[in-house]
Amino acid sequence: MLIAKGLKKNYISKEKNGFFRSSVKTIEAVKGIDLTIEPGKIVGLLGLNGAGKTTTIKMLSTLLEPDEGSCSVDGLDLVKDAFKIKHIVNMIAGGERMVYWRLTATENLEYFGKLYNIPKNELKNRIDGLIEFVGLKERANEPVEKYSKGMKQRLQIARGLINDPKYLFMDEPTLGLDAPIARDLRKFTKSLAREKGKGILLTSHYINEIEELCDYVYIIDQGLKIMEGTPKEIASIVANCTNQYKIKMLDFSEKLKSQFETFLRTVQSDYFIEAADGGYEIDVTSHMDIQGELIALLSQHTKIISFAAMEPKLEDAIITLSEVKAYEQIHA
Amino acid sequence: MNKYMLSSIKAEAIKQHKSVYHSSLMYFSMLIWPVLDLFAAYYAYKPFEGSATSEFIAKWVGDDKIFAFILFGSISYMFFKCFVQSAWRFSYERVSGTLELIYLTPSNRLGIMLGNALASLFESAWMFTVFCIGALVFFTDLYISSAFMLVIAIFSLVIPSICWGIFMNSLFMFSRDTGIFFTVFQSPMELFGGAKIPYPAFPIWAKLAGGIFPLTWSANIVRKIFMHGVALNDIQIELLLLSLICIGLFLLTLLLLKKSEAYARKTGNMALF
Repeated sequence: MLIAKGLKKNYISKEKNGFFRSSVKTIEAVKGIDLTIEPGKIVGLLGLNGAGKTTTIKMLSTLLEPDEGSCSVDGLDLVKDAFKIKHIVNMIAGGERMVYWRLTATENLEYFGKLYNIPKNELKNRIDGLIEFVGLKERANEPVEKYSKGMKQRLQIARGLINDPKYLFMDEPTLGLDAPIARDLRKFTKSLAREKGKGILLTSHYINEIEELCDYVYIIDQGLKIMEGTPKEIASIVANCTNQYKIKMLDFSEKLKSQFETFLRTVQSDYFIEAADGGYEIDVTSHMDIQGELIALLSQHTKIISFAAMEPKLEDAIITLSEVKAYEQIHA
Repeated sequence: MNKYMLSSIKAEAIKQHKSVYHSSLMYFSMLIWPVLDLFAAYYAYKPFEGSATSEFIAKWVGDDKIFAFILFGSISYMFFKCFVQSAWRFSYERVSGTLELIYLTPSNRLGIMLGNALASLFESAWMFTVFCIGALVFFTDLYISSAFMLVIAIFSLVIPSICWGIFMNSLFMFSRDTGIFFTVFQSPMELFGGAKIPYPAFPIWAKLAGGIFPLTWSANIVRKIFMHGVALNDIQIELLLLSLICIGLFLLTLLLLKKSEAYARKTGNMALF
């Protein structure tokens, strides 16, 4: 089991104050994160850009040394036993970089396999299996520079699995992948955990991906954990945080306006209205599910042409959660 | 040497070779540039033939051996240059994001550096062969005392240049801005290493500067073996100094590799480029 407690990481950054002048600034990237990854489970790590997800993953994968806190991976200490831990972890990051463009897919995997000192025959079998899994069999012996973005990313995934890691850290692995490949990867990720007992840490911007795959989810913002729970719990919070409604209606009388605004004030919600196609379009944003109340109120005064409840956005939920957290800290 | 080291050396040497020699044009270039350099070295000397400069050099190397002196200096310098360029190429791993992935693995770090250096041995060996054939064509009075001394000459180039290459490589591991070391070491090595000017002709301060470069002693040994047909006893001091420098560079490389990885883990600079 991977158990991290109070992980902290600061970066020293230089701030330019003129042509020759600069001052040193400490950036607290991760301010104390606890998390647990059990073998056979998929754990989600969610957060906006700059939340500290990648720094956390790099600490867990031994690329960065935590400034404070501790982490044990199957009883091994993350700092003292970093070399041993490297055998049982791997990381997959989204994007096209991090493979050798002039080498073929097979040559790339051979290279990384040899760095893990995998015996020749075993490495060959593993490469064949991985290349087939990521759908590169037909072009396995072509230079990577001729691959599409998605193909390069698929090679990244194969590379991340080359040492058959016990713990796998996946930093937005489906970013930019075609839907069928992303679906296959999700399926494969699930099977890696369920059938092969691997512990997986997954970061993603797609709430559906998190809901489908993760057993447990941590939400972090500005280096701090702001929430944790099962995907179901997270999804319900997301839904409550970021309800958006798009309504088209025939007219918007003064009487309706007055009642509408009074209602929105009571539920702490906002709206935006504009005239469109001989009627009106209203966008309502609310932290509560007010779909029923809205329909009831509007239909008393006007004809509703269309009513759409927008799918909640994870980003909005995280922003709301971080605002709530900041408010609680100020008023604690 | 542990199994990780051997595996890392092999993997890195093959990868670098495949990355660099990816087209037949590279092989064509390898055929052309040593020949061009050979001519460049010859014609750089030509205008000064019989001049005061030529006489100054002749005072140290002999009247009839100036071109041979420049030629074997160039061979030695280019041997080192190949390894330094190989180290320089490795610094691009940072840009492509693969440096992080190498450090993610339990690979032997020194093995990676050695593998990278060995990849350029192919280029250096080829260049050395072309130059030697050129030397044999131009000079009929060249002689080597024994085949053993030819082996000593080759080792005096290969081992120090590898040590120099891995040392430069380990410097590049510190940060993206260590390219300055390339500038600081490369040109002074060419100047003070005695590749084109006789080392004994330098003033004391330049001798001290040149003495720290392994090229100085490698070039000296190669010249003595090819131009004067010396035996092992005649180059004992040079070999000893060269060995000490190599050991020093090797130990410094080990230290730098350890420190640079610790520094990268502390600052996260491995991902910066």
